[in-house]
Amino acid sequence: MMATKAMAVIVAEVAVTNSTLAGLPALGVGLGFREPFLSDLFLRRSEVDFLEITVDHYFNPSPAKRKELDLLAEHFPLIPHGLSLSVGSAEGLDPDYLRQFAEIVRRVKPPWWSEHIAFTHAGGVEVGHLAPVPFTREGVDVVVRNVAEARRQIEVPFLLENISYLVALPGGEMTEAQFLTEVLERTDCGMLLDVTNVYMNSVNHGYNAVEFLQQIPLERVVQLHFVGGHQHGNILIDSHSQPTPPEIWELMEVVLARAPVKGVILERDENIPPFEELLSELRQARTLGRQHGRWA
Amino acid sequence: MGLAQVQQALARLYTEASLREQFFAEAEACGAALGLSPVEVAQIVEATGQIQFFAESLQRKRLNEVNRLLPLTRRALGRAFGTLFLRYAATFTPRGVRKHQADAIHFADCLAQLHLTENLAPTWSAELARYEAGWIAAWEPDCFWHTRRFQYPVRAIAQALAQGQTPAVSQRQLGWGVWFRPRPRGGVWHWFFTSPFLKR
Repeated sequence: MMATKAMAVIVAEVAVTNSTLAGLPALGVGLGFREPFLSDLFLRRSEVDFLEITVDHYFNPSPAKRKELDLLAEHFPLIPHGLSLSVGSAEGLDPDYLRQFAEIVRRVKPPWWSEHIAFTHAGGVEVGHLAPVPFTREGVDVVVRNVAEARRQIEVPFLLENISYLVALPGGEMTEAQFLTEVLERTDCGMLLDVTNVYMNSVNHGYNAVEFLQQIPLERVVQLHFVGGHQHGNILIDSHSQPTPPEIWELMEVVLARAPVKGVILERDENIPPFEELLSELRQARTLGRQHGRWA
Repeated sequence: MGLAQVQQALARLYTEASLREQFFAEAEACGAALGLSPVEVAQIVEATGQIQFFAESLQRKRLNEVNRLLPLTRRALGRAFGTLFLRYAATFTPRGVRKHQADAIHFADCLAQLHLTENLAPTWSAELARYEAGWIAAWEPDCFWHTRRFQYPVRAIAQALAQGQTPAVSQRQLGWGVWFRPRPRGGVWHWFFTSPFLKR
């Protein structure tokens, strides 16, 4: 009887959360906001549906940065995206970083927020980039614990993003796809699927990207990231510095055909081209999404 | 032993070149000192190439950020900027949300020290770096007042470089940069005073 009741609660909770994800608004196509194109953005704002902001840029803001955030929030739906919450840290979350993240979420009132499945600091040392969590049961437990703590502070739906990684420590107990699936299902979070990272990892670590997509819970995918990177020797680097290449567009189409994606963000950080080039990529993404009925 | 120790060890291996060198030369002893089990040490050793590549990519990322923060110094030093930065980056790892700004300021200080022993060319490049670092320091959120003394007319040098010109600097000239922010987190005012008394 108790086991049946527990199962019923678990099923009910999953169903409610999944309907939470299903009830999220379809935002369409957007950009990771970068200050250099602020003016162009407002001149062409009808062509950008929403923006993703890097929350770190608005911690302890100057009056100018505060005004910028308010201006953006007034004209666009904003999705706060973090870099250093470090949900993969065995030491736990930085409470000050989480507190500041929560303040920004309260300020901009987003439909969801997101962070990476990674660790960025340990033992007082900052890595300076996203480092992979080992694909082990302990790794899953750490992420689940940290996500639970984050959700106690921020009640808005939380999306977890897959990262690109250069270090694959041996001793993993599961594949990357299994790890992501277990993390997403145990945390009951939505997914920010970085299609570029899927492609780069598949090349760098020798697996089939489409098969990978078939192994993760696509029904949890809410938002996508896409952009081009560069090659350093034989290794693909997720540098956010180039136009999106055909291989990544193909993967995006695979995902848009199958996952209930609500929005896609072009994450161009480096080597920023004329704004029209960014809009051209957004138009292509918009057309793809429309073809698969993701947005109007 | 366990994920916390592994992550602490990895964070240091990713960011400390000297530790990396020591670890991959004497993995067992070094790993034990880091609190790792023999199995964990073996796993990390197996990923030596990947760890080294990742560590180097982290330094390139830092260099890209500091390029942006010290653009005139980068222009003045040319390729030497990158070489000098990577030497410095092996000795210091910045922290915090404003780590790239901290990196740029520390690097400028490092250049000033290097110039005493290595005679960087152009001769005023270290002072230019300190001038650009002065601007970065002045824009820190809690900065109200910042001053620096210079041995060269760095403001004129910076203006020439910003306009794509080659600065015509024939001699040293003592100068002071003053940065003032009258309102908390507001705009920064700047003055540069030169002294006629130090010219050689």
